[in-house]
Amino acid sequence: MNNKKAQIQMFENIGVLVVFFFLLALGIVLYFNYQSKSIADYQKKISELKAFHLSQQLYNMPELDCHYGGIRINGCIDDLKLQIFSQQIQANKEDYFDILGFSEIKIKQVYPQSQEFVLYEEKPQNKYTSRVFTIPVILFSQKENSHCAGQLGSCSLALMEVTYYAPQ
Amino acid sequence: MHHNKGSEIMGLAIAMILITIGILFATVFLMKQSDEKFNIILDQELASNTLSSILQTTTNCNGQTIENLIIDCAGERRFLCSGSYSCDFVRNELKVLLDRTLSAQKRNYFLNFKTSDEIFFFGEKCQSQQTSSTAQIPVYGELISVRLDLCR
Repeated sequence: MNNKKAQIQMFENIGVLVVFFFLLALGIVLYFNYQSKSIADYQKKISELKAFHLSQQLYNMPELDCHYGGIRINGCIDDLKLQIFSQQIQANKEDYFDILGFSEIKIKQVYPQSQEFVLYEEKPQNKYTSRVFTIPVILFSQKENSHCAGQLGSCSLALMEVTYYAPQ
Repeated sequence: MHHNKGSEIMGLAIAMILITIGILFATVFLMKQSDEKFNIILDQELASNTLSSILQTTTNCNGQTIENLIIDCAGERRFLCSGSYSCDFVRNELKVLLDRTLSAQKRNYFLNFKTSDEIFFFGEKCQSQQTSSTAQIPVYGELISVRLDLCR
């Protein structure tokens, strides 16, 4: 009689443990699925943040910004500086890699004419994810008979497109 | 008594699982909130840069910026741009500029210019949430307020 009771109790305990481990395994599977998805999302977010950060850094760089007679024009890239900076980047790619990393930086003029200019491009060898951040900027070029932000020159509308590559 | 012990363990196990799931949902909710804040920051930057860049863009009407043409339109109307008044010209050019920036990025927007007696706008009012950027243009003793709403 006692033996049977002990057996029933044992089965009961085993049943409880089976259900417990089943629920635990289910929890672990769900948790890891969620974790892997959130890590991928987080990686995308970091790339987007990096692209955003790079765009901010770029138009505040003295190599590119518009600074005339003690006045700085916000969100502006000097056309002449852009041409020179592009050559400088090509000549000293390693130096600028520390700042720009694996990324692609394009300046797309959209008004009055449309034209595209690739300032920097460095893709990783291995698999990567990429995020793009696009922000409008003005492209200043010195010109007579035109006005822009209190200066004698012309301001074209451009889009700065920063693609950040995050190696996987 | 033994039955109770089994149920107790089962109850505890279920409680643990429920607490874990609860924590998981709370984490998801908090992560979504921080994502939202991040997107707001990006949109604020995009809205303010778009507005300031558009206003400072030089047009082919006497080499004047959009801002100067708006001032002219609200005041003396001295400039004739390709045979039309500055008001018509600036409306057309603003549409082109917005099409090539925000519309090209598939962003819905509402840009509105308001003086004491006139309002003109581009795009459609945002149905849900929005991020805004504003600018004030002084014109002959009054202010034109410009507001760009980026819809989310």
